[in-house]
Amino acid sequence: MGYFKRYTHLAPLAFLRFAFGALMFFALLRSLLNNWVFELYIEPQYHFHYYGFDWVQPLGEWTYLLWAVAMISAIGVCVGYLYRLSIITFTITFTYIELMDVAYYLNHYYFVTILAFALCWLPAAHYGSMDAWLGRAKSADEAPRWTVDLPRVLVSILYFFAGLAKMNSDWLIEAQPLKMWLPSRYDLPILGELVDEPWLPYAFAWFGMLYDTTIWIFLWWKRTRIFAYITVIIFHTLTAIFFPAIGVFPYVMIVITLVFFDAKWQLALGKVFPSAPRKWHEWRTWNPALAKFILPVFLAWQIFYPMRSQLYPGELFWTEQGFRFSWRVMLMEKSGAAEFKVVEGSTGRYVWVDPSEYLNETQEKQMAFQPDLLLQFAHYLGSLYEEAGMQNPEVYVRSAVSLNARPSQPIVDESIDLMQVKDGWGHKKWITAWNDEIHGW
Amino acid sequence: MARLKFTEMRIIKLSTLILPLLFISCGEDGPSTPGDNFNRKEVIENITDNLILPSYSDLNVELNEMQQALDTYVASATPSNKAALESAWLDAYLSWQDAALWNFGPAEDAGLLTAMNIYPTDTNQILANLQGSYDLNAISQFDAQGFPGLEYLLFSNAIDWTNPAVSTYFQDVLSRMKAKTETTISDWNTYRSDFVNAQGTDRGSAFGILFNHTFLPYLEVHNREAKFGIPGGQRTGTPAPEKVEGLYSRVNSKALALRAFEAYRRAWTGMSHVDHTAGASVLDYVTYMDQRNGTQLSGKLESELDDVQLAIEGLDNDFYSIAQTNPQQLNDVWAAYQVMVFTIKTEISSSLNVTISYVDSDGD
Repeated sequence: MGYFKRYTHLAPLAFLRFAFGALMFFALLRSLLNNWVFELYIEPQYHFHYYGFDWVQPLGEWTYLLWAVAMISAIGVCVGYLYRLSIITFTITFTYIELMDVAYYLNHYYFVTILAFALCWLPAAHYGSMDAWLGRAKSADEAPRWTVDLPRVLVSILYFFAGLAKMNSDWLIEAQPLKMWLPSRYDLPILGELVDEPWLPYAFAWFGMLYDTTIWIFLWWKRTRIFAYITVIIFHTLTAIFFPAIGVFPYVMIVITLVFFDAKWQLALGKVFPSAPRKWHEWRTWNPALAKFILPVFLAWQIFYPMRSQLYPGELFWTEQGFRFSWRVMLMEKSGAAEFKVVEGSTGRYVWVDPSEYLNETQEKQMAFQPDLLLQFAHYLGSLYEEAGMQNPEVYVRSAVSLNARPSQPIVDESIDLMQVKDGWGHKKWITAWNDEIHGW
Repeated sequence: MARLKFTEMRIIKLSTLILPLLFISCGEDGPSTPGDNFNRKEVIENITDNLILPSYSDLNVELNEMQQALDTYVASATPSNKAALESAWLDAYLSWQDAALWNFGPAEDAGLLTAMNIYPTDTNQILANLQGSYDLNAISQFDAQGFPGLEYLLFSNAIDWTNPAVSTYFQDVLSRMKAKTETTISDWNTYRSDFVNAQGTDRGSAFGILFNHTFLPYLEVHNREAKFGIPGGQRTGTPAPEKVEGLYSRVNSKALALRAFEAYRRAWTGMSHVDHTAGASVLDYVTYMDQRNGTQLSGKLESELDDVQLAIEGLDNDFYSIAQTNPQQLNDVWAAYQVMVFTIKTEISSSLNVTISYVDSDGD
């Protein structure tokens, strides 16, 4: 256990804190300027909830306050002022924002939550921070090596699982969905000339898989680090160019992976915010007794939770049981359509409901191919009709979902009254059997 | 130890060699053969120049002919001049069905639809307008004008053409229709190059605009729902015969619906509005993607277009009486539309990778 007694310079961790805070501030600012707070959280009359988190709801106009608090605390994290308060506040507010509507789920938001949670425990503000400069926190140069390594491990896990997820027959053998995605970028300068090349999706698919599964190894290894980092920049820039819809994710990865370096330039922060005179050489984590218990559990979660899909029968891409929180990023092209039939049990009278009357385009699009969201919306419709005076409404869904260029088929059995179905951790038997197979992980 | 060192060195060398190689291979591999590239711009140019623009100029011609027929009838109120006005109204209404589906850009900015075809028409409002003053640009007046409003003036027994207020109102409605059409046409002079050059498949691209207006919402709202679902009672469980298009002339609902559907079909097949010759089309693009993906979507879409057309053709001319006596027939057409809508929303929008929503997404 000598590893846990080793110490290393705090600069990479301090730099991560700085970059992470700045990035999060701009990411939140971007969503604010795009008017997403209003369009995604205030305007819609219904919000899809994460299982067990239906109590997390947008706060109406006060949602802006949530944004303000998250943004201010992100600045606090960035400059390292009132760090402990800032990072805990940020973690809570950002996680709350993330939990408000599962229809907007993004893997990199989940990564932000994970990294923020880890940063709550790490001594990231004892070097190159306002706190250390002003003497608010005891300043130090070094900390246990594992506190600097933990964020690196988190990034490695993300990459590894993302790569593993690409080891399937659709991605590698059929080069789907890249075969569909790449040609639509025909308008790109220079690269646009290539998008119709038949080999291009294969090159992207194999390179993407190899990159994700191995890049973290080359980042850990000092002798390859600089080349690996150049690869990181090129890879994520390409994904940003080809898939602008993934938003800030490429930039998050380009900046966060700098944590792998332990180079001189990272000491710059220590010059911007020089340490106060009464300086300690080394520092420890926050609340070591508790951290000793929490962080191993946290790390185990990172390793095992993404693998839970193995416990469910059926094709993962179809049922999406265990799909979220498992680093399956830009992996499949799935699109759906759904119409709901509300039947009055006693009379048999029915109406067909168009979900777009209740949902915005993103919610409707995401719901149409995710079984648990179809179920949630069916329950919502049932409750609306019940409030309007219908006795025991039955709700059925006629759905069509196409996955990776296959003919569409219903994803939920149209003959099942969804009001009788409960969501849960168990296998969802009400999802139709998929009439094809994808081999691999 | 030494052997480990050796292996280590090899891996380093390999990795530094392979990583840049991978980029060269997927970044800028030599002079590519461009022969395979599908020309998307040609598709948009064909739709613009051979479908959209001619459909507006035809509409303009028909509206002017209606104007002449009105002038003739006002000058000499003979039954045959009335019949000529009715016929000019129908011709213009049919030509509107060809232009209605381009409900974006200039047409949307001009509010063309509000002047043309909001139905059912508000007959009480029209009768009130005949008694006093009105501003047809007011939102409350949108359902008291356009082709449905004119239809009421032409075909209702409650209207007395010897009252000069009737021809004045007809003229005011027609003037607004002409003005909005002319604005739309002149705006397209500048909008054309923006539209044709809006490449890619994002929301703001020409393909994105066509999908997010013409191919889906127009089809769903103005064809499937307005012409069939609403009178058939698909959404409410209660048929609403008084909500059919062509309520007062009674026999034109089918002709209007069919014309609208054929125009919609040509938007996919790229057939010229003028002479129905084939041109570069979105369906060609679907076929091109079919060849890459090993799918048969263009055939599937064509056969679903056939199914809808057959379903409409199988109806009687008078949707009002269908909605009264056998609304299920209208709902059957609705269902045929819905099959096609599902195909477009799932397989075809995936295949062309057209953006329907607009926020970040990485899950699919």
